[in-house]
This record gives sequence, structure tokens and C-alpha cells, in this order.
Amino acid sequence: MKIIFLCLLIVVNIFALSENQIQSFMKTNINEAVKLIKESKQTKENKDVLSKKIFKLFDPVFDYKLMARLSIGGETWRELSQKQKEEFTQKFTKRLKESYKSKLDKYDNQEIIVKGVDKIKENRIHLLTQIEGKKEKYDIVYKFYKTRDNQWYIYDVDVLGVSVIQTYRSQFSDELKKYSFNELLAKLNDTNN
Amino acid sequence: MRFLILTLYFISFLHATPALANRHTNDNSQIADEFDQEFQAKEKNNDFDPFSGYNRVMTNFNDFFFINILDPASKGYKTIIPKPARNGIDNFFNNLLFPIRLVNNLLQLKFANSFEETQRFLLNSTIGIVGLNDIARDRFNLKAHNEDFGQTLGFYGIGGGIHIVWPILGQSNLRDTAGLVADAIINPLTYMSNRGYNVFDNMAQSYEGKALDIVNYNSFHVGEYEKLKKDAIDLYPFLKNIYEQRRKKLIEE
Repeated sequence: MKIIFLCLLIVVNIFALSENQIQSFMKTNINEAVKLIKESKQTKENKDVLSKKIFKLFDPVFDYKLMARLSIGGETWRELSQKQKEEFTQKFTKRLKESYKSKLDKYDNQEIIVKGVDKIKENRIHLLTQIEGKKEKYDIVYKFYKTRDNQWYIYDVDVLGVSVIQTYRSQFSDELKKYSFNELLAKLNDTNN
Repeated sequence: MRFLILTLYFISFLHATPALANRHTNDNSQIADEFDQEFQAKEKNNDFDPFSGYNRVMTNFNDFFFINILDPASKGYKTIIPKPARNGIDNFFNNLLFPIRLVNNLLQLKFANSFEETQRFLLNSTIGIVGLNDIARDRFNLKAHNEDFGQTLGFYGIGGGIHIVWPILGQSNLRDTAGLVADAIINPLTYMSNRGYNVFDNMAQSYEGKALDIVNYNSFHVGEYEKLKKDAIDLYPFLKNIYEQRRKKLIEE
């Protein structure tokens, strides 16, 4: 009985990140990513290959669909068709990844330190990290939310106190005052290329 | 036995249902609406932007200035002046801005930081040879505490107010503009008559000095603006939002 019970629990939670796993998961994978970047600097590896390896590490914990929904705002999202939602999510995810990729060559052997977690409220946890350069330190905060079955996913990242999702929200809401959704989608497509 | 099966069924159901539901988390408006409210709460002051037309034009002007004038100048400067010299110049100007940091740390009741700043100024101005070396940081592990008058006003609860973009100085708002003016008055690099601690003898020298400071500073950051700009879908709201969020964070610290 006990064994069956345990098995059930394990099966259900196999891909989930529980609260006490957040820090260790992120620490392991951030270290792994730093290792990958350092290696690729030596071998002069293609940035596309490198970024794909890094995304593979973190994709399981990023809720890209929610990020897309949040950046365009609930009001607009509800009006979109299923197809539009999917297209937008795909383009937006690509945008986020391209933006990350373009920053990779700024990495210059800084230390990346996981400082700890900060439980903002029952269903929000912030993972605090710091990039330590010679002169300056940069704070990066990964913001997790809890789903109903106690899994944790990232929905936003703060860079130096600037929420990435908020910068997109302000731009999209400004754009949608003047342009249609389809025009916005086209623009998003342009910046990706 | 039946009880056991029932219990098992019940347990698996309990776990399975949320897991199934979770696949549609993002369509679940309840969870997402909570997020919308969270973000909206932070954004409520950003809507009123009466200068947006002018601000957009000025953002484009500054963009042109950065990409076509400041960055190429800094790049040329960087190739001519070796890094140790540029570090020295950077330290020198930073050291001179001590009065601004001291006054604003004091006004924000950050006494430990004010003391550390004073130690830094004394050490760097003497052993550090008129501020060319940041001995205080390198040898004594004393850190700079940048505070400006805009942050001081924010510390006392004054909101940013209307967003405004200045030529060359860039994104700002009413509160931080007042801050810029106040800091410029304290700034020893500013030339003002009847003042004992002017670094420069006249207005022209003062502007040249400040220009050198800007180019020298930017020589450590060539190409960064261009890179940041690539993330923008629409430049003005992008920079505006980053500026306001960053200032809020700096005031909270």
C-alpha cells in the first residue's frame, strides 16, 4: 500500500520543480551554463549551438506561454483566436531567446552566484542571483509562480531591477493603441530577423 | 480491498486532475488575471504621458547622437588612450563628484555610507594621488555609494511625475530633472562664480571637462547601447519603461 502510494506520488511529480528544488535546480544549471559558455569561448563554437544547449537546460522551467500572455496583457489575449495565441507565443518566445543570445558574448568570466530564495507570498518565489564582475555587480532575479499542483515555473526575470515582461507590456500596450494585433505580430517578426 | 482501491483511485484522481488542468494553466484566466493585477499595480502611474510626442522626437535625436557621434567618438578615444589612463580619468572624475554623493547620502540618513564615502574621498585624494587611483576600493575594500538628488526626493516619497526626455542627458522625469539641477549646483565640475571649490576657471572649460568625463565613461561601454536597443520593438516606450523601473529600484535600495 505504502509503496503504491509512493509510486503514485513520484510518477505524478516526475517533471515538476517543487519548492525546495528551485534553488538546487537553478544552481546546478547556472553552473552548467557558465561551463558551456566558457568552453564555447575556447572552441569558438557557434552562438546558435551554444544558446540551444543553454535553452535545453532552462526550457523545462520557463513558462513561455504565460510570459507571452502577460506581456500582451489579459484584455488583448482574451480577444485572440487560438491560432493567434499560438503564433504570438511562438514569436514572443523566439524574441526572448534571440535577446538572450545576443547578450552571450558580453560574458567575460564573471562569477554567477545564486544568493538564495525569497518567498514573496504563498505562490511566488524569487530566486536571487548576482553576476560579479571586477568593478560592478549585477542583480538578476528569476521569478517563479506556483501552479495548482505545486509545480514551480518562471514567469518573469528582473535584470538590475527591470522586469523584462514589464518592458514588453509597456511597448505592446503603446503599440496596440496605434496598430492592430497583426501589425504588431509583423513587427515582432521583423525584430526577430 | 474495495476501500483500498477506492482510496487509491481517489489519491490518483487528486493528483491527476490538477496535472491535467495544469496543461491549460495559461488559458486558465483566474491564475493569469492575478498576474495582470500584479503588473497593473506597478504600472498605474505610467499612463499619463503628455509630452510623449516631444519625448519620442527627442529619443530619436538622442539615438542618432549616441549611435553616430558619442559612440564613434568614444571608440576613437578608446583606441588612442590606453586603458590604465582611462581608468585613472574615470576615477579622477568620480572622486570629484564626492560632494554630490555625500550630501545625498546624508539627506537620506545613510550615515554609515556617508562615512565610507568620506573615507574614500580622503584616501583617494591623498594616497590615491588626486583621485587618479581608487585605492580605497582596491586596498581598503571601501565601496562607493552612488546617490543623487532625484533618489533623495524619491526617498522622501516624491513620485517621478511626468516623463521627460532631455537632449543628450536622455530619459528623465520631473522629479529627476529637479534632482539633476540640484546636483549640478553642488557639482564641483560646474562653473559658478563666487564659489571656493570650482575645478574649472570658466564656463567653457567646465563644459569641456564634462564632455571628457562623458566620452571617457562611455569608452568603457562602447556598443552597449546599440545592443540594448536591439531588444526594443518601439524605442521610446522601451527606454522610458527601463528608466522608470531602474530608478524605482535605485530609490528602494
